[in-house]
Amino acid sequence: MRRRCVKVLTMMVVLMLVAVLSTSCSQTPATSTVPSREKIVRLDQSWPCYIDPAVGMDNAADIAMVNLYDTLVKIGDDGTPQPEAAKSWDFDQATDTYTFHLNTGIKFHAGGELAASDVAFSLNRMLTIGQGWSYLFKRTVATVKALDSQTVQISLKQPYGPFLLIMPYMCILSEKEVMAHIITPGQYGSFGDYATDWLVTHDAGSGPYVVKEMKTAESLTCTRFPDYWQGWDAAAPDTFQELATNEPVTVRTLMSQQQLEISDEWQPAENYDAMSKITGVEIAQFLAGAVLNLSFNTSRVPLDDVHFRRALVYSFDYATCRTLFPGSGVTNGPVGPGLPGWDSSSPTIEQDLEKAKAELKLSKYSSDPGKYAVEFDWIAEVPDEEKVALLMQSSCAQIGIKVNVVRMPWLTATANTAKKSTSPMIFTEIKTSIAYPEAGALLENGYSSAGVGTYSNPHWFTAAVQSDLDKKIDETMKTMDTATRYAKYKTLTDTIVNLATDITCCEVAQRHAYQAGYLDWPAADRGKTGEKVNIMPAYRMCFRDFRFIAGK
Amino acid sequence: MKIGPFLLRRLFLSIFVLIGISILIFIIARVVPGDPARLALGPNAPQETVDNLRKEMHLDKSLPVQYFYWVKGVVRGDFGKSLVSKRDVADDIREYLPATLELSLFSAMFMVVLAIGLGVLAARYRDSWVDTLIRITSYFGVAVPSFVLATLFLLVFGYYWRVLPVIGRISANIGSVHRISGFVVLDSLISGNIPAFWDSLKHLLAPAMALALGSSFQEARITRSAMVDNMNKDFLAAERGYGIPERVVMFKYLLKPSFIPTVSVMGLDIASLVSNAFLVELIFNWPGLSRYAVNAMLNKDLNAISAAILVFGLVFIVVNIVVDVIVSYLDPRIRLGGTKES
Repeated sequence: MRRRCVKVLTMMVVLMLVAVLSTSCSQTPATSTVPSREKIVRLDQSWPCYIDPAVGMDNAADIAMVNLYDTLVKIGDDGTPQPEAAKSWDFDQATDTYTFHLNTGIKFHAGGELAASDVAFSLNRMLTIGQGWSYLFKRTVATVKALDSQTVQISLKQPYGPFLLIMPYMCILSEKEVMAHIITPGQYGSFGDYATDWLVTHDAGSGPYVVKEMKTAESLTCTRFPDYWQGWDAAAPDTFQELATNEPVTVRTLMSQQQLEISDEWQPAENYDAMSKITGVEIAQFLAGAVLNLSFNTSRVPLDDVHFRRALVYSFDYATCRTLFPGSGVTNGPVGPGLPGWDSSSPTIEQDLEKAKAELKLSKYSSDPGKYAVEFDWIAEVPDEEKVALLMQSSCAQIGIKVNVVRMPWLTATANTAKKSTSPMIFTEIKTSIAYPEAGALLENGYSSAGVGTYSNPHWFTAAVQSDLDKKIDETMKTMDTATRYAKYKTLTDTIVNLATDITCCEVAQRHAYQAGYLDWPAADRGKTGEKVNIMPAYRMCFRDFRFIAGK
Repeated sequence: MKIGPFLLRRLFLSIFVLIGISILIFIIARVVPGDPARLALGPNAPQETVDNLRKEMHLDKSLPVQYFYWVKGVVRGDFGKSLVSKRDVADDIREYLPATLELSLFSAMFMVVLAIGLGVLAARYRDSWVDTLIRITSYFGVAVPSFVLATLFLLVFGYYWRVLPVIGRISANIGSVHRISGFVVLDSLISGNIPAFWDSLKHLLAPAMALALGSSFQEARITRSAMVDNMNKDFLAAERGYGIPERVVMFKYLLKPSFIPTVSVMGLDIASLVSNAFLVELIFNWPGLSRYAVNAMLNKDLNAISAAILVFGLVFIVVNIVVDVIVSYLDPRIRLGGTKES
């Protein structure tokens, strides 16, 4: 009897496995032409993804927010501020005050119409919570108030030239919806937790898409908001989904199965090559000002000597480095050529061993440069940086400088930047997350004293140098006229280049594999034809502008 | 040995084990370099915001005071807030633990079936080509890490052959299953959603096999060795003399005493599945606790680290208790010896 039961059980398990496999085999292969393809755009991204506008600030979050929320101002493909929820604005130079006039008829996903009070509420919420992109507003905004239902006024603490360019980070939430979901008591007094708990998995926006499901460790799925105020094209995606994976083999498999429409920009070069061979898949490439930077800790021997630093700058093999990052471009300083405000008149920097030796002779360590080893800390989570480190080691060896290559976890590297003595001698960073589309985003964050003690500014300048840079940065950022501000960016950049504070190896191309066979991606098309693409990565992912190609 | 008092005694001792684990991980997490508040908020966050978060996490207090606050919360079921997920850690564990347990249980089933099946086969046909083949396969299975197998399965079954899904627990077109236990396979069966049941089983196949294979081969070898050792014992000769079929001798009379060492190792392997599934979960985008714990460690998410390690410790304790009970059932000497003493 027992034997019979065991036999029956075993047969059941075997039959179940066969059934499971056979139902998989009988499915129509993914690559066959589907008469009516589901209009969903799926992309993979690094996780976590915070969709609360006062909290999120990484790529996944920015992509979500640009599709879930409206902002007063958006960034156009030419890098200039364009109207969105605000149809127009005025600036009063005397009082450093912006007055925004809102469009009417903008509906929130949960109901109700967007008003000036929602704008004021959203900005105040951002300033109070203080996370994510809030720092951009905390240092610039004095007050915000709704003058009437369609007019909102923002007063600045002092003039700030790129203010309109940071406005796209101020997403407008429905005050009514947020307040309906606050948890009290909370750390924000009468505002409770400001609905931070609820907004982990929901949205309170008016954008073209609305959150359908947020699986915090897996994916974010958003569907079309039919009442979106700017209307819809029938061929636009109904759904977009961000997937919490960027494992190369998984991404490649999903691409081949047409279960992924756009890959992330962090895939290894070999994976892009493999994916480009899949039928219908192309590689979109954007040069948008992102740079690979090797920042020097100028307080540590021998990097405290400007001539020694210049020797390193001239000895580096930039041409070979560009081959390590396919599609990358040349640079002439800390600002990538794709960024507005970049100065094209400054010469590009290439390897020049004679100049490097000449600079080394002027340095106080010239008598025995090999005695003072330079430690290059590459971030363990970015394997490509090891290649850069080894390249630098071999370049410097040609002029007698010793470079030690050390693998360092991100956690340790960022913790070490908190102190001068432990801060890495060379800190490597691929700067892709640009706060706003202007040279100031890299200069302000990378060289001002506000970033000292963090990996934003790991240079540890002397007091005199830092004070001079702060003064120049402050003066530049207060300049309201764009042309004058760009001229001041040039002066600032020249100062930084002269100080030889970094090796800016190349402008790194941001690459994505995508399903060109059935998906029309406007930014990718612009990239192909050599037109300007939007500097801000998230704006290249406005899914409402995508189109599914009919019949594919 | 009476099961009741044995279980009570083990559970009582487990409390001290868990306290020890919590103290150890609490200290280790806090002495590892990195400021969790600054890491969570980014380099540009105002110092005031960072200081507020440090205060909220009691990081401005001494270690014993921090531990006191943490224990006070844990006793109430409050593990604090995760810096990474921005949610209560208890909610995270409630969401991710069933996913890992489901994957581990499925892997465990594979492991048991494969280990017994291959071990018995190898012992039955010892020194033949069957035995040699199983031994060679075992070396391969033991040597190859689970994440390599995961990548292999993903390529074979997802890229080239395309019979299995490659990410998640359920396909998007199936939709969500009403959550009852958190085990998608079970929940879909309970709610009568048969398409979701089959779909979730398919999603489990590849990751579960990848996790199970290495340990299965190891245990198959242990089973084979133990069976070969016991094969020439007198009691077996007596059973063969009675005319009992060889199949019955192998599975009923030989396997039971030979399985004792395998059970002990299997217990440890099954318990470690829960914590070691990280890379498999990463490759298959499985939303499990192991991946959550590793992300917490990489981001120095102190509350999440402490809670996750406690859960892993609890799993080890429970599994070891279960293993001891099974071993006492398999080996009557342990049961009877305990009874005699009492």
